[in-house]
Amino acid sequence: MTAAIVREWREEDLGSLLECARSVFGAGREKSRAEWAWAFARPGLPRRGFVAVEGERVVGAYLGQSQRLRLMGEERRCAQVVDLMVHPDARGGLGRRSLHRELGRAFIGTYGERGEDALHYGWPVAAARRSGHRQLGYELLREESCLLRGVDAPSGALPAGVEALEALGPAVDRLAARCATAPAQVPRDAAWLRWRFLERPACEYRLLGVPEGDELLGIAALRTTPWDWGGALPICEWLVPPAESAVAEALERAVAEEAAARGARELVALLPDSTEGFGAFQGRGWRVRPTPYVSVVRAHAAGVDADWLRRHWDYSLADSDLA
Amino acid sequence: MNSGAGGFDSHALPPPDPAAALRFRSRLSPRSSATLHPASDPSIDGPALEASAVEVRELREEDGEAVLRSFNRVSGAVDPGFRPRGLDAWRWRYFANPAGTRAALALDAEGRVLAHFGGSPQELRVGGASLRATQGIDSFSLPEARRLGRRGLFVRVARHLAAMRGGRGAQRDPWFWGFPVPAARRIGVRALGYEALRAQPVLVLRSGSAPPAGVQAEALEGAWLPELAGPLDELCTRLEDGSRVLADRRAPVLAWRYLDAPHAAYRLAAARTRSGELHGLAVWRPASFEGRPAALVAELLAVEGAEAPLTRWLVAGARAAGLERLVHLCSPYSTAFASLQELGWRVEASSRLLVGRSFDRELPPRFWSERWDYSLGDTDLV
Repeated sequence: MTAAIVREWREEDLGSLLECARSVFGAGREKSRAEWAWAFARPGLPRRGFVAVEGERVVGAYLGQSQRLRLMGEERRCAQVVDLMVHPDARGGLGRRSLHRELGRAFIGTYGERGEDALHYGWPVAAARRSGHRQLGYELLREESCLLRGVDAPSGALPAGVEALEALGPAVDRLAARCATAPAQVPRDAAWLRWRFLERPACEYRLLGVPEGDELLGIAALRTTPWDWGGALPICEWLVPPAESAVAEALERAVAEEAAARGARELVALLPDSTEGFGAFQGRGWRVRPTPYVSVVRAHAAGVDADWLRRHWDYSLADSDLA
Repeated sequence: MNSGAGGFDSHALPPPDPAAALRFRSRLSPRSSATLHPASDPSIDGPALEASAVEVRELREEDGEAVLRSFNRVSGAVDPGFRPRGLDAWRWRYFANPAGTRAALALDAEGRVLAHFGGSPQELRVGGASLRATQGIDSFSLPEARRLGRRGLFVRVARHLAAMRGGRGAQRDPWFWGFPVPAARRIGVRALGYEALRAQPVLVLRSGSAPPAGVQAEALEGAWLPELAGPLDELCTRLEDGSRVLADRRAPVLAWRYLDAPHAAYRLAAARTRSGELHGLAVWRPASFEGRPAALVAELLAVEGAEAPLTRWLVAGARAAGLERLVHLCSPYSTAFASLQELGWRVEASSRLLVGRSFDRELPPRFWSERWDYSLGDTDLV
């Protein structure tokens, strides 16, 4: 049985953490140091993570990507739980000590039950999900459905009125404010979109916008490589006020053009089925299909549980590490 | 007929009114329980409850009146629109189902039903093999009885039924499932081994939408099943020929489910080829879903494009009944989930969570989640 100690992660753990990740996820699938800093050490946001160490060797981790959260009009914090890992050598054994349980309880207790996070969430694999339900109070949010549509051959040009966005400024903040109608959402301002789509290492996105004077009427973010599941190009963010149907149609033609130019045959989007956007996409001919991804939550705010979040939390693929 | 639930089922009731004293953990004295739940029948109130005086067992046919006294009292307390169930509906549900009887209850020394966990069993088919499953329904306990004994009395009753009927083998069911209301779901997850599989989406069609062109399905009324028994058997065999799990929908089951049901009047249509081959069947009735009037489509069985004429018939029926929405529910992994979208049905969220517990390691929840083609007609929501 492991003699590991559970504590918050420190900068000096990084090398051993990556080594542990290699052992758990496979060589080449662990994050690089740059990806690590992007995900877990964002300036201005608290760090979230516990490790299990034997001496100086990391044998387990329960980590969170910290985010701001607008919750019922208040500024709060949340974290997406990612990169759960327990080294094969540290699993099970006599006494059935569960590092996953210990790490998870330390994380949830420190940052949620006694801390400032209103919500922890994620899209864990099946084994972690089952363990989380049993031992860490995970609640099912939903089995994610996706929206799919085919793309035609490229025409060679973006539709009129749609431009590629290379920089994000105050117009983005104003657009995000117009789209911020849900009681729960990670705020989509320029700084967040910049971090998510322009600064992420090892992942390329194409940002498209519909400008009108000094304003932006809509933004879409398309990842330029196929999603791991299904092979379609994913729309990772969709910032279009519901009333702007013409903007939505133009942006959709634009992302389809971009996808077709990259040889993709399908586009995929992931929006909660409780949102207006989910219905609007279907109205434009997208079809709904199940995915193998299941979202879970652990809520820590009064009046908030999975049932409430299912109705009121607006998120996209951008809120996840899935794409 | 219940105004909102569409079935003999506490799971279909709206969420409990927080002001009502349906508190699982409360320890109510008889006097306070009387204050919060004015008894409509003096025989409901009884002496102080003692754990040793409670009997937990499976349901018997003679239990009907006692069950209904308690069920109607509890249901009426949470749903102002609730209409009391009658003995005919109860017998139909528990003692006329071709797949058998599933329920357990707890009674006090005076024969008052203190807690109840009911089930609606089904025979299923997958690739020529047989399986069974039971939907949990009609879960309730009297407020004053819930904390009787070391464990909640309802939990004891539910565990008794699971011990008697969960598993593989003769008269046992490897899969218990349901769409419980939130309070029942929380108890189920905490104490009964329920696993939440999905937040259930529904398929919705606006009756104002243009139905697909073509031949309309033939509507069947009256005693039609004897004539269709053979073709229905062939249709079911075609639908069952694969890796998907389907409930038996042959004539005896459909007759019980839709023609003999005393609490509702269903409308049925068949889609047949010119040569008389049955290619599909649809069943619906006017009701409400999540508080909104709708044409609830219980069945939409179809092969070879029969969904189009059946959808047209459904739309016509909904329009004639003044209903703006048609609502159907099925597994997102079913072919119907995809094919109905091509006919204009749209996917919407519902408040229902599908939960289940497997009593067979070889048939884990994931198996049921991905391979089981359930639909609205398999539930007591319609």
